[in-house]
Amino acid sequence: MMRLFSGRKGIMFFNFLVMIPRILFLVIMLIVCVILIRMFLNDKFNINDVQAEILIDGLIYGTGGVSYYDPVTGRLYPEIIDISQLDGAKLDQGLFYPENHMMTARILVEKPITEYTDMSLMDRYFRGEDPKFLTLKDVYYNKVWYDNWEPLLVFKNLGGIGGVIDKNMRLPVLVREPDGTLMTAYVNFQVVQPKALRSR
Amino acid sequence: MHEMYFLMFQAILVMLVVLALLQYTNNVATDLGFEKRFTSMDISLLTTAIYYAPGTLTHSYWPIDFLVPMDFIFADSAVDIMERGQELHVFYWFLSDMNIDALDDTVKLNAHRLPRELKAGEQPAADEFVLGSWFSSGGLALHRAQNITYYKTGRQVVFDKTKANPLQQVCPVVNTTDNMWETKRFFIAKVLPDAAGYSDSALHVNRLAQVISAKYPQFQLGLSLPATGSGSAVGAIPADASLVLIFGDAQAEREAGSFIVYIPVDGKVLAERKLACLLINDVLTPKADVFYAQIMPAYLDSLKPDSPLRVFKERSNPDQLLVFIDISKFANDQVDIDNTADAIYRAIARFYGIYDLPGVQGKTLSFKVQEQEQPQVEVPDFGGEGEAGEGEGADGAAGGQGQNILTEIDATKEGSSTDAGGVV
Repeated sequence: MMRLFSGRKGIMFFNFLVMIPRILFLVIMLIVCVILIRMFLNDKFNINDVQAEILIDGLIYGTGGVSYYDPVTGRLYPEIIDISQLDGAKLDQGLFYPENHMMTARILVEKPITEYTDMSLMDRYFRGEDPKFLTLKDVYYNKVWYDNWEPLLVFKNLGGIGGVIDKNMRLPVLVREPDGTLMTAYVNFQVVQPKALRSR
Repeated sequence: MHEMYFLMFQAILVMLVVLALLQYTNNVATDLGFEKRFTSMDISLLTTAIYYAPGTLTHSYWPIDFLVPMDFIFADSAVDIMERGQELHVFYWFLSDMNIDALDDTVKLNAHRLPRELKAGEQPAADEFVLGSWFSSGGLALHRAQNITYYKTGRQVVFDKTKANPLQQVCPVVNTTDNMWETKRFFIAKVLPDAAGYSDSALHVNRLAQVISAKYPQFQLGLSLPATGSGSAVGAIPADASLVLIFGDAQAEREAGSFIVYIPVDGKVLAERKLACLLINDVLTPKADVFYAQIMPAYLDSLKPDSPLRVFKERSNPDQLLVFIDISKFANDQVDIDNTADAIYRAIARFYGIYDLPGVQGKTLSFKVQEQEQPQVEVPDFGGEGEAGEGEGADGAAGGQGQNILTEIDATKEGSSTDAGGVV
């Protein structure tokens, strides 16, 4: 062993070996300093809720959203949904986030069932559909990422900054038929977004 | 020797770490990083909310006390916040509606200044306001940090440091962006009541048409179309002209100082109304002074045979946009030709989605109501505060009141309010 550190090369090798714990100690001290400083700083922002609500506002009040837009007068009717106008691709165009890896939404329009002419209540139940509502339209905003994140929602109650969370809102609306008549319905918004803020 | 190298390496490393820590500590002490990050998110969310808030909305974000000068850059659907002259920036996205006009601008915030006590008789600066005039001195002057004021005019979200003209109009929602707009051809026509109009009596109309075509080669000055008689020959307007500006006199009974833009009511009415709206908003700089401004529809089926507006029937291409700009109610010396030409060009550029052109400074149209003889009509008492009309801008109660009075005047004169109330 002593032969290993004898001679010129041996001394240099010994010096290098001694440096390693000193550098490690230096790095550990730096990390401790940063941890101590960060412990006293609060630079966390949680804007998930308000961001989800604003997206829903955009879907309701935006010209590229879900509400009925009269192209002749340029007027938007926030309480009316025209099923024929509702299109997921148009939503992506109308509500624009650059490199949208931060917000997705599912928009489900459904009307309460008052008559069961097509199938019985039990049939609908066994088919996995809500027996009280008939789906009129089911569209997605940023569907690619919705499909990626939707399976992760099962872990949304776990702590930590990873994973995704959702926010749901249900609003009564009028649905405009192609002939201009209106019927009562509901629109459900499910906004899915990552817990952590993203930055480029 | 190796020990010496190692010590030097350690010393350099420690120095770098100390410098980084000092920078970090400075950042923490001033809360600069936190403020930048917080403000970028806050303003992004606010911008998104304003985009989708129904109705016209003005929001003053005041005061923001930064220790250093900051630039806020709104572009590409993100708010960038950076110290002036520094590279490091913090940004956050806002949601933008691609169907409406883009938001693209920069706001510069001044450095924070502490309040100062005014000396007796000293006047505050333009960006200061005085608090506590009961002071033995002149009061306490508070420096007002730059407001970020969001004006939502129609579906366009802007924040403007200049005062909006109260006669500015609400523009409709039509996406008319065209990146190839510079390849388009525009046509200018003049429609004046008689041959004398093409000489001295309507000199400003003639000069405006000439100056626009001279300054901006895209504009082709066309033939002067006769206003009366059998109308102009079909084909006078070239078919490849995307947009036709018609300057002239619509021969409508209007008060002096009236700035009217007529648009034909047909399939292109929304786009033409947007163009007319932008023309009015750009021509009416904060210093412009007009009696009132209005967009008037022209129903092609009910035009009189001798109406100058029959020029609208000369549309040679169904995609062509036509607007008739009537500035004949201004005298020659009341129109600043160069500024008005620039404002018209800017409005057309904005119509096609170009927003980085400089704004027009100074007056375009100037008219003093006090200098004119008021119409001899009994104006009823409106109870002081006029209700804001549809044609007003962000903060223009005065414009709304003026329009209401005008409506009453016209109603009294003509027995009908349909004419003056005809803001499309």
